[in-house]
Amino acid sequence: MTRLVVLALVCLAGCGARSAGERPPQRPDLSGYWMLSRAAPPPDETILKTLPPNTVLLKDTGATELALGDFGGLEVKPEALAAARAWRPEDEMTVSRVCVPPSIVYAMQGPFPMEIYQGTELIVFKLEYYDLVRIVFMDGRPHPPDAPHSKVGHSIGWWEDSTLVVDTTHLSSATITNNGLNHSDDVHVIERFTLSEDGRFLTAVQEFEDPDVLENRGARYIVWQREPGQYVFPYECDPSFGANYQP
Amino acid sequence: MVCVWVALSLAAGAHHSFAVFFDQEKTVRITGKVTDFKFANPHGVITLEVTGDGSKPETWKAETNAVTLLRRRGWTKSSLSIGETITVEGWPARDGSRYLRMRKVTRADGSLVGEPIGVHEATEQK
Repeated sequence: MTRLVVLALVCLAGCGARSAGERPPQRPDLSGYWMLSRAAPPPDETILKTLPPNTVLLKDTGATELALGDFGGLEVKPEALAAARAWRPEDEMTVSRVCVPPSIVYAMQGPFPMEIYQGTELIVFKLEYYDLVRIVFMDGRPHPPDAPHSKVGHSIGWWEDSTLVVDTTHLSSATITNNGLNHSDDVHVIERFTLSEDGRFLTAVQEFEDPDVLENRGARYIVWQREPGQYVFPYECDPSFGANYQP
Repeated sequence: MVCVWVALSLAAGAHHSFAVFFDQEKTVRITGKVTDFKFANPHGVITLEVTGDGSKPETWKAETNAVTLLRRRGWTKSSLSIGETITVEGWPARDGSRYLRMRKVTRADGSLVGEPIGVHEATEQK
């Protein structure tokens, strides 16, 4: 009996069957400083074809933002649509609101850099935007059902060949499009990160579904460029800025 | 010395969240003395005392980009001195208040504060 238990633990530690002498697969190293690309190439059609049906690609990455009332093709359910239409941008510009960060649904495409620290059992994304830090567990654990919600949520990841897949849940409600449309606490995000052959560009296709808010699914295509020697600065948002918008 | 005018600019056609507050179709240039310079995120704020034509001084404020982005263009918290005369160019507030979104700052000798905005053009909007 004891021998069976030990054998089972060894099998778990081995993370899958691999014959003796077989080398583990080489994974691309995503570690480094990444700035949103200023010369982003057009979306890779091969990658976009992997999007599930009924998914709309939002074209607001980086500097571009959608106008009031424009949700980029997302089909918004009536209750969420009413809330989005009632939203007033000046309500965000208060001392109590101006330093509330967006969730990763919006923050990943923002025009700020990030650093990636890649280990075998953890991958860390350190975003400059609002000092958000994402930890992606690569050790095979599931999402804990009782995890607290936050703007970075709970992320687990795995490799599919040379693509890093990150699955995130437990995100607290926050903006999708920065114009009044919010996702719910039950949004589910899948991101696929791929490195260009020359290692200079990192691409992510970020998909999200939120049946409480959306009839369809959303996606963004994000490209960063590697900038060796650079690093992320502290954001340290100062809420007193909001006072400039008060009468 | 006061020098405030409005001119049409070649603004980007894209919509941005701050477009709700600022008119990107216009450019305002304001010359005045720095009375305060707050270098913090989410945006820095330059406060100016603007006097012109013998009239009562007016207080103007210019909101900057996120200061982490400004740092990469060579700005620091010491880039501006209290009492220094500068000219701020930017987008005016839509509500007509004495508030603008900074695009460029020049000193009295004509030198530019920080690097030109085009260096991080894709990052300048938020």
